[in-house]
Amino acid sequence: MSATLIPGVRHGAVERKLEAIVEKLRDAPPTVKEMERARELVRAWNRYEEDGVTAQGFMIGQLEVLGSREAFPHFIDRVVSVSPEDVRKAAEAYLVDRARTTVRYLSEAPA
Amino acid sequence: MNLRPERVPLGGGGRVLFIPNPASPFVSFHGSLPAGVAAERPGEEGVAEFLSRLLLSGTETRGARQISEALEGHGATLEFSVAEDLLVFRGRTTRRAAGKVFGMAADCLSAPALPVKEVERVRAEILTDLGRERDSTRDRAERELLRLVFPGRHPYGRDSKGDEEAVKAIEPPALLEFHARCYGREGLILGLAGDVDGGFVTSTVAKSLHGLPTRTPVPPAPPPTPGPPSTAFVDLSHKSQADIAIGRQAIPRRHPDYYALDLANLLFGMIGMYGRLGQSVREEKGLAYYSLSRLRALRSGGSWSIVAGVNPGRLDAAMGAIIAEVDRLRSDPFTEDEIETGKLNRVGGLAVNLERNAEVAGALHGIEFHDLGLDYLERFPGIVNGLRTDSIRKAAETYIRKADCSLVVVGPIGRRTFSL
Repeated sequence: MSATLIPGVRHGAVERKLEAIVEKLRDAPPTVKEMERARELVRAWNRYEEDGVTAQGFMIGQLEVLGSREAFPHFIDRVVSVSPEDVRKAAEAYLVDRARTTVRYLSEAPA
Repeated sequence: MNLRPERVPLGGGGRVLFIPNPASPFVSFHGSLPAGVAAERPGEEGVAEFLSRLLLSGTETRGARQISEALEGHGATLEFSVAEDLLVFRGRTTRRAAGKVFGMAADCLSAPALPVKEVERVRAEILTDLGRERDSTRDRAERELLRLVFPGRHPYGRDSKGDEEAVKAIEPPALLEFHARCYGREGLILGLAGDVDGGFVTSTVAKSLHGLPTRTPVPPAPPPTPGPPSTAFVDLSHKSQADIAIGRQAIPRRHPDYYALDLANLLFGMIGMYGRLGQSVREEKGLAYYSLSRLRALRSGGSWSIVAGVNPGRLDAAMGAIIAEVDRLRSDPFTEDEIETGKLNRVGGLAVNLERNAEVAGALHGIEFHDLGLDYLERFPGIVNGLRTDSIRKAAETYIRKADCSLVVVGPIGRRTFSL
């Protein structure tokens, strides 16, 4: 997650907003509407990522590193079969405070 | 893949170029209106950019959220940006959703609502960008160089965002006046690639864009007047890196020397580890974090420049090494082997770039904007391979000369000054 703050906004205020979004994801599964939109987006990205041999080669390479390139034709089916509860559990397992690193950039330029 | 696009005229002066790619499941588009920095009148500095950032913030019939959710729902993208000559709109969509996406693009272009809250958001965003760039040694050096190279507030030398004073003063009436004058079908160019054909362009794309009004043609930027080489040195004492920018006015895209200079620039500061420049200054001497050269050939003029990021304690050595490479073009001109490698890179690079729809759409847009001809992509290998060695060497000697260049150094330099 990243954000560029407009002048006068404090980092802490934005971070609390972002934390609230993550917390909501840990506590409750996404709605059916949210899931449908996400699935449509993944389908679209997948179509776009198949554009050109470079992108296809890159994706096959990534899948091979992660397990097997054989997953390539089934990638979309696996993503689409993810349930709302799967998403909540993933958020609960990985989007946790103890694993978080935060970088705040503050310009040192004279005002 | 077929490399010769078809052209479909839009009523009111617009044109669409397209190349079908039957293997592709979607459509990429790259379009423009002559509503860039060059279209701004005195007192309108920053208006083109400001307006472009508001185009997705709502129209007379759609709110910003509606636009965003509709695009997302179709898995489509649409973005607007401003450059020296043009307002650019580009994105991608499935063929099925194309009518809605192009309709939305036309709506954003023809009827932006300019809500007060969004105007203030954009103002804050641009002021933040200006502040961030003012604090970046590289951005500041490049910006200052363009100001020196294109004097007299020429559009090619101005920051598209304007300056802080201008941004603070921009109000909706000025945005609406610019919009009424510059946003129309006249001069609209659109490149399309992917799941397209003539019927689709006529029935879906042209129909959607027909809602744009007709306008009086916007004149192109005047040819820039060259100024004398000059210098600027900016002390940013809190920084740990210094950036050098060296450059001059060069040539417009349609100039007969364009291809020879493009190849010379490729060999000098781009190919591989950034050409001769990168090989010497960065790789062999270790004097720069990066060093490269750049040719920008626009409609009415252009620039050629070198940029380098260096350790402030080694500024003099880095500058000496850069100038030595410039001078070497006369004592040790490009060899036949170098030139052959450059030609292979350029011709092969075109083939690689055209593997993706977005790049094809961008190339078609460029072909129409610069009037290069529908057979340009087919002719390109012949143009590059037909360049004579002496013409490439001559272009390097003519345009890559320190005597014509301005110099900018930005970083923790105190009151130091430098010269080429």
